[in-house]
Amino acid sequence: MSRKVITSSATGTPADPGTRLLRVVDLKTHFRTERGTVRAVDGVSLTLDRGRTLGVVGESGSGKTILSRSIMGLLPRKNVIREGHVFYEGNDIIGYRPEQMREVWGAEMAMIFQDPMTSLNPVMKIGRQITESLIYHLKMDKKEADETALSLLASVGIPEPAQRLQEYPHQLSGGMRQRVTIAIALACGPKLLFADEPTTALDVTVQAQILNLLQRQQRERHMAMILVTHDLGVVAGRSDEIAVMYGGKIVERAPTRVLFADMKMPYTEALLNSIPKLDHRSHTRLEAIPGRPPDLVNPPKGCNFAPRCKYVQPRCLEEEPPLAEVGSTGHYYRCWFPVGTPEGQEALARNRARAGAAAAAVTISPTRTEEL
Amino acid sequence: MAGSGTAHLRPVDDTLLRAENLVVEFPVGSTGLKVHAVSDVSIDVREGETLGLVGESGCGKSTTGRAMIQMPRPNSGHVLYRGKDLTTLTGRALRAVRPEMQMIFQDPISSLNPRRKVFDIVAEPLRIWKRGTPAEQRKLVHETLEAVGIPPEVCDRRPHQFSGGQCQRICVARSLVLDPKIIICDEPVSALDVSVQAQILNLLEDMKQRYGLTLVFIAHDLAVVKNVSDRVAVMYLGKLCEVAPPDALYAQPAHPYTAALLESIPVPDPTVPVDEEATLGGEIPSPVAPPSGCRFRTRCPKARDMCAQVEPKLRQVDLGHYVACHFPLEPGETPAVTRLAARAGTTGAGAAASDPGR
Repeated sequence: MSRKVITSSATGTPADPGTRLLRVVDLKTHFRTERGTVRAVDGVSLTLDRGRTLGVVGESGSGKTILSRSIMGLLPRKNVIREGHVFYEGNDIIGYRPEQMREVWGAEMAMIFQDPMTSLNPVMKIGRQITESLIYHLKMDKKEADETALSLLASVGIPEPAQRLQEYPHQLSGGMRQRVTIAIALACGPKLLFADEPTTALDVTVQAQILNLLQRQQRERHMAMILVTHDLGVVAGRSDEIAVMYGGKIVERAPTRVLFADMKMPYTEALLNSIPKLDHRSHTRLEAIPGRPPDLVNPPKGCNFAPRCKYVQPRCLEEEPPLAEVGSTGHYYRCWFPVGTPEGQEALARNRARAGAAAAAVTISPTRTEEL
Repeated sequence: MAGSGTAHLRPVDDTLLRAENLVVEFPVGSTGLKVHAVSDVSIDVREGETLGLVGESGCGKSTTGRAMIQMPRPNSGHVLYRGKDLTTLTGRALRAVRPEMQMIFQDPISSLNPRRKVFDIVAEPLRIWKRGTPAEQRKLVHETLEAVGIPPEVCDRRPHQFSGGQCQRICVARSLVLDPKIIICDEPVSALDVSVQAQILNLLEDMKQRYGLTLVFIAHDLAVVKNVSDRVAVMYLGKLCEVAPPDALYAQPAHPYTAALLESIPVPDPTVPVDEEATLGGEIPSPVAPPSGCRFRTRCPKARDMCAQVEPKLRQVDLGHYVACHFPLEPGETPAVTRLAARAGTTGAGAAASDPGR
């Protein structure tokens, strides 16, 4: 039944022309654990259209991976609370049963994982791992599926594809394995591709190759892509929009160029400043972010980032800022004292004055930056 | 690139640790084949200097760093520490030098024993070497933990109660208690988040000042290496490509491989266009059967016949700047793969040459 709903839109004419490919509304994903409820994703909303790339940036524990898995319905059911709406071509798939999701996975949306070593089946030949979904979803016969697999491997830049089809994952290098997982993900022509840290396990030269490949495939197939990464450099040149996550929430979201030119959220600024830059002289002191990410079982009152923020004011510790939009520019942020505004400047000046006074009174070890 | 030679070495009495013609090979099962992990690499480090060793996985950078402190001993070559040849020392004599050479590993959590308390982990080197009374040991451990930013009150906890960044601080403290002269840091920040990575890099700089350390910093991230190093050596497939002061290396790479590495780094700036053609193609060849001549030639845009026959030696191209390449990049020249990018991309003074971020 779900199959029918989805294939009707798969012909290229969505039921309602105004329908977005993906619309996530107030998605929550919590885990029940012995320590309490972990609020891994806590009220995330976003939209994405075909042909566009959304970069999701955050550190470990920010909820970026759980967000993509939750949208795709890849989480276990036990001890997971998943609320909100995930509209895919207008249909809310959050309540889909596993057998309904099976028609969505691979055919409509697909995912590439971080570690190509563990996401491939080590005891199955590469060819069969690719043809599996072709035979299931597209009802191809073996011969047709083999031919398609061959052209898929060639299109992701694997040399001698015919020979590779007969090989096992351990016979390939990390970069080649990631190309295979991309071929598998693309096999049934999904409209939405999740790439979860697709290049983190790879070397920098191979990373550039894989990112270029993804970008080219996305353009040719007019897919939407959600590129999840911890590296602002990876998404800067390759996304249309960026969502920065911190403590399970989107703290800033904007078109890529707007975000870098006019960032409002102190966390985004701090994240960018903490990266060593090639155009800085060696031994330039880095602006580290003090402290550590929030505990998602007992998130701090007020703003999640307040304990580490250099703009922090008493209000930040009491009231949580809403995700507010700058005019109607599509630039959203979650802060009471945004970067580059008079309020923000004032807050920063106040904190600096106070820090100066405190430093004069007590000399603190400069390296003692992490709180316990 | 990917050559040998010793032109870049400085006088022996001017260096703290000096490796000459290091060769490290590992047998491949019982096949008789060998992994040529490090092939004739010479490198030295002055007292108080930070040497950055950079390259992709499998280039031999970790093996080189380990061979420098005889863990394991190299198959051939010499390592001079304060003029003393470590490769000829007996086990006992080598052990006596060990406290002066310490190591910090990539994964801070797995390099700490989960069943031991932080105090015991940091105090163990002192106990092994019977340095001081228990009271003196306690004082020193507390001081060192304090220095790396771990409050001594929590030293009765075990590693799992700390975050990755804090575990790395504990590892740094453990390496410092014996008052070493040199620390080999093997990818010390690559398992950490960017915000914590900056904390640890700053910590290493502070500790270097405070304890008068010499560091060998091994990493695959060129921006990180640039930030901490006084001298950078780029490695490829068991050979050195280029040795230079960081600012010169990044502003004016002479080796095509260095240039390609720099090209590949994603820049956190959306106004810098991504050029899909400007990527180094192919992959690192097998170290079991490395290419003849220059080991980089199979991927090099400038390779010619000569590169397959003659292995390039390191030679000086500028003050303190050495390259192992028959056809090094001229000042202002960008390799063929990047030329398009330079033309299409950045504007302004000295486009590609002075814009190492591209």
